[in-house]
Amino acid sequence: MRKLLTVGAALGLFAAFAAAAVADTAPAPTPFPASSVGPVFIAAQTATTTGVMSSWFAPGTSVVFRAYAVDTKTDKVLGAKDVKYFYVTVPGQPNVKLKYDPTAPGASKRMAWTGTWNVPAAYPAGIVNFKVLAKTNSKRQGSFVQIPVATAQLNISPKSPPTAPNGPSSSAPVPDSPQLALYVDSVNGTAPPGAPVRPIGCTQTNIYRRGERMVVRTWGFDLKSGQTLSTDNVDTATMTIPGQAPIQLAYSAHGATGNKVWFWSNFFIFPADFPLGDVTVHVVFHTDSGQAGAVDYPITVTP
Amino acid sequence: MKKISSTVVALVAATVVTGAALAGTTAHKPIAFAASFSGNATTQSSDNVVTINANGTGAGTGLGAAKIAGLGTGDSSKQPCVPFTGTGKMTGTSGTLSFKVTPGSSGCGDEQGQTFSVSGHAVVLKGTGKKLAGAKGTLKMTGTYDRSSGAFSVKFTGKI
Repeated sequence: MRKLLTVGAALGLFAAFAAAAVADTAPAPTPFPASSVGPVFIAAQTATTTGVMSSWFAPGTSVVFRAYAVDTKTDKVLGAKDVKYFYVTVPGQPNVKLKYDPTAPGASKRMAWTGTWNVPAAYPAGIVNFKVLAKTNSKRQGSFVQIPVATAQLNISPKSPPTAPNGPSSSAPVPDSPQLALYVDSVNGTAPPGAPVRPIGCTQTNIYRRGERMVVRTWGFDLKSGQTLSTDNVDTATMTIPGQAPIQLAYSAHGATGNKVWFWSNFFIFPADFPLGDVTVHVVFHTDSGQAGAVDYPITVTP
Repeated sequence: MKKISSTVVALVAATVVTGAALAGTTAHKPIAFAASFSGNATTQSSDNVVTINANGTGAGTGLGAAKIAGLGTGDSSKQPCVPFTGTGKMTGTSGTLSFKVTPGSSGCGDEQGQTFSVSGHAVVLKGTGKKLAGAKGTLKMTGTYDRSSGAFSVKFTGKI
């Protein structure tokens, strides 16, 4: 009995030490969406039929899924003739097939694959864990899911805030053979003092009022090495807003405790005298190995 | 003829002396340096100035098994990334490396201000040991830091 107690005490002590050791472990980054790229890279957004990015939709409205994809072996952006299939799975709904047409409602030159989901009036409120899937004619496959930050994911709710009538003009297309595969979006950040407060924080949008805080979020891969872009391999990562000094993007953790993921981001607060209308946010990455990539991300600034 | 001979003798002597001097100098051959450490860091805030004190263990090229100690300051008024600078020293079984963290280095936190990514550059001030004596250059520095536990990990890479 005494021997058992001794062993028990030793085990307890060991467990305590082990717990202490675990508690003192530095956080290991969890790159979103993965530490290395798969056979097909996909970036996708949700928008209205007029090109306004949004992550909140009311039942009975239409969600436009728009996307682009890159074969990571050939580094070729996928066009209409390159894919066997390209579609969106929505829980409890028929698949939404994506079609290549840069002029389709809600499409952009960069995200020319689109498909529209008409949300049923009775669709349950909450996060829609959709997935975008593609397969090339050469049988290479890829998938896309959203960053797991609840309010910035696709949500269906009767209380969805209204969206602006029109989105910004179309962005520049993806280069034919990019060195880096990049995803970019933006969300409304915490309202600065005196700025209008949106009903829901941290929702995806490309329309900002003067005084609001825009948070640009981006992630991607070096197509030569296949590695996720992180501080380990990125030399500089910046976003530039016309008339402003470049803003360094930060690689850090985001999301709920226990489900944090790492990506690049930073914010900009639109001054009260910021010119109104469409603006292009220029997001640029340069890696330590000399690879480079850029995204021209269009937004609209309103009074 | 005598004059020419004297000149030749002087030149030869100069050459010998120069050669001897060069032989006495060990020129540093640049190496690909990599080191990683983990440990504990404490921070103390006063107004917007954060004093950082970090100590850890690890290993590195030309160092062998090593310890790292660093002292720096950060500006917590800047968000989401806190810029910091400071100095530090890696002390290993085979050599040492003193460094200075350059402006532009920062720690970027999550929404809760608990988990930070650390990135920046460190200029080598002095190296000792067989591989690191005479080392000069700049190292890239990346890592993570958990404010609640104080645990950090950091990597240094570069050619020095």
